Amino acid sequence: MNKNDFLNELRHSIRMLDDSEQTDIIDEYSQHIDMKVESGMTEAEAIADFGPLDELIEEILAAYHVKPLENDPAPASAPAENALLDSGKQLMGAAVGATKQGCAKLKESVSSAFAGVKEGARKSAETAPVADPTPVVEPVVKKKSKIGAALSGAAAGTAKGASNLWGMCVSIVKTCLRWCWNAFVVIVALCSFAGAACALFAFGVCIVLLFQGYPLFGVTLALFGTIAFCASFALLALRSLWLKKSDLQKESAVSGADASASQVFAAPANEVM
Amino acid sequence: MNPQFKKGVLELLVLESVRSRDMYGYELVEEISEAIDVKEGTIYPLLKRLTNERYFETYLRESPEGPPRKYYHLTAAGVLRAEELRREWMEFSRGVSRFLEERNDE
Repeated sequence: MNKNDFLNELRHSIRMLDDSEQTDIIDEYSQHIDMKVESGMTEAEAIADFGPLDELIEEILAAYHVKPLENDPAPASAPAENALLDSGKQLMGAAVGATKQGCAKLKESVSSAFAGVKEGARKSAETAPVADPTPVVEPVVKKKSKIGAALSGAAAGTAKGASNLWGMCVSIVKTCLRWCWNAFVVIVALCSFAGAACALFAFGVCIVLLFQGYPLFGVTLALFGTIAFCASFALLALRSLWLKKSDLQKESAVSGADASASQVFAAPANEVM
Repeated sequence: MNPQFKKGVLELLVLESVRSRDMYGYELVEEISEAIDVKEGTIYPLLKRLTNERYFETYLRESPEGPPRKYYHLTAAGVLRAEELRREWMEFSRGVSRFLEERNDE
């Protein structure tokens, strides 16, 4: 095989990757072959050193968590000398590759969809963490909207004109309930914060007195505990705020972006090939 | 040479090579080939994977003969990974050697 045929076939097999990645890979192999030729090898020898092409492609694609396409049609402009032999080898390679991939199928099924592959590892890193925060936040909302859900269920059974009006009433009632609940939660949180602030003040006074020699160590510790309790209770109350659906999506998108950023930079748990 | 041995150790060799100095692909392949007989095609996918996993950073440097070359540089995460693999290898090879020695005398 000569250099151009090799590069064409290679480019054809990695066509689902990003254009920049494709160019990058092709350039690297092209440079490698050139340098080999400079040091005295022929193109065919240099290419033979890469090993079987389908194994090579499998390994390249595995770096992007992509499974090679099975029964891939050969590129139109590739006149291979031993066409039968090559296609036979490709089928064998595909079968071997398929059995090798058996264990990693779960991981790769996410990214093997042809459309989704274009985005590469970036997309698969994003979608994984986004799926996690949403279930956490949703149960909270589900509890609160049980009333709303029950009312909407009743609305579904009535006549069309009446159900439209009813739907409007339901949403108004839901909004009112939501505001009342949120107001209640905010008041509780504010009281807790106020309690924490007072305890903090008293804590400060006790520290000063403690250094002046008064036996107030126990009281100081108790006040510290009170601060911690009040602060965390306030935060807990704030967590049970009843949010609208649009707020939810914003919140999960933000935490999803944070999670994906931290996942990309943390040491990933990929097995050595 | 048993391919299973090679696969595990290749990552270690690649990381440790680049740790001593930044290299480009061809250079790296040459250096690794001195230690073990390796299929040259497997190095580039491995470099790609390690770059995607942020163990390497790459940059282009002009070369007098031909197109600019892509150099690989080890990141902090890469250094940690190299040390981790080196520790694992030492432990592993010591264990295997000891095992074989004990059975050699029987």
